[in-house]
Amino acid sequence: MKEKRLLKALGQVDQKYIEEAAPEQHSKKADWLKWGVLAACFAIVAVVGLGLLLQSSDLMPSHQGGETMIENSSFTIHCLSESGTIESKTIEVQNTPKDIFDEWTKLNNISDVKFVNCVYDDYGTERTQGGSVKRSTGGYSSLSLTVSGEFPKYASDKNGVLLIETLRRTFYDYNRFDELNLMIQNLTDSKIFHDIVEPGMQADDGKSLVWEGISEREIDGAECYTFELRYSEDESINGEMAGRLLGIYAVSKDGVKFYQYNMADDTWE
Amino acid sequence: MGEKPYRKGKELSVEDKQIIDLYWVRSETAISETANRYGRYCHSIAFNILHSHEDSEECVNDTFFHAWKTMPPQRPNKLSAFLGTITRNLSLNKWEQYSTEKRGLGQVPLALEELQDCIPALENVEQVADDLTLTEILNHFLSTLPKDRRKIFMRRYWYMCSIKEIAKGYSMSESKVKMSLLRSRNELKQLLEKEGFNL
Repeated sequence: MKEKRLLKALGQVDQKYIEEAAPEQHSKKADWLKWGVLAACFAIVAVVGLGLLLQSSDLMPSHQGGETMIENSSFTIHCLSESGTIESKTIEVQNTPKDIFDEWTKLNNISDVKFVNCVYDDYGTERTQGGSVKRSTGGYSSLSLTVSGEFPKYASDKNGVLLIETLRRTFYDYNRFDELNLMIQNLTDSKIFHDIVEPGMQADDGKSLVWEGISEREIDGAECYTFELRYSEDESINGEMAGRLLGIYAVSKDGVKFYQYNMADDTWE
Repeated sequence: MGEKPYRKGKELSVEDKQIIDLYWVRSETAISETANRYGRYCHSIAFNILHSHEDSEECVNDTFFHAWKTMPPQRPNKLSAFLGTITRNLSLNKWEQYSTEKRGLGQVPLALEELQDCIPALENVEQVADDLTLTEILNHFLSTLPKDRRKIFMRRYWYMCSIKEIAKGYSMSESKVKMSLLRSRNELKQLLEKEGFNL
């Protein structure tokens, strides 16, 4: 059969094409760690959808704009018990996402995980001055919670799924949402944060960018992930810039150091 | 600008180098290290072809044995592709030995059916391509494909992944994957006809 011959001949093609198309083979844990660091500052590591229709709810005081009274209220915080079950505790705490989060880390004994940011996006929702919301038809809301880079080490073990579930429940009780976007910030340098683009994101001029060429190397004695930022191959958007290299970066595995490759001098800065 | 040492694929990772060194010093840990690092990769290649975990496992073990026999003298540039190629060849050979009933499983029959699109029409044929020439043509063909289409083509006809799996892997619809494959197959057919080769 001729087609069989073709199939076999394909087996002998240049190894670069074989390697290029290799399916991803890493574990879930590796996903956590790699993406957490790779995206340089932000990577979405878990999206927990709920698919529930929302009822009217109060906006979080810290994000509704205008004057807000921050006061102590009773909140239900969910945590993971030593036996690995989810427990709930009602606590008097200040009505801000940060305070809620801090209580959650305390109860879960992971106080080194820090709160970074919390944004509630309620597409299709009409806000009123009093802080209450009216849901318009088809509205869909997401709560994007950004936490520090210490989180993956707790979330990647066998109880990780349950731990994320306690976080989801805690914030769901705090402010109802359809979807929780949990993000990890590994680098706190705000300059870097503003310079770096998330995977799959677009540049200011609307051109699409991709991370590529992920590998590992040692720089100044630190184990680092290196990667390239390129214009994607989508010629309809990127035109002649399609596939071109923008820059090469590296992030140390502990997420502390960040480097940019200087092509002219062959150095990492 | 000099050679870029950090580029993916430009240089073996440290681990691959170490594993190959283990083969060269005839350390038996080479096999276990290879199994740890590439066992799943090789198994998935075999399983797409054979659709049997037991037979796939056998092919993977044979792959490691084959690697042990060929290193040294060989020192592959890309260990994963080197091992994957061995697994693919062994699996296709095993697949051919299957009974007709068992041969109907897996992705190979579907891939073969699709590849019929690439066979040049007889009237255009001037000569029968030898294996080496055919591989050269295929390399040339792959080099002309846009990267995304090339990856999809290789996933389908080298890795024998299902359309569904490819669509999921690249976050695109199944119909888009099918369209991409169809265009690639048509281009391969045109190239073979242009070169005047029969298979």
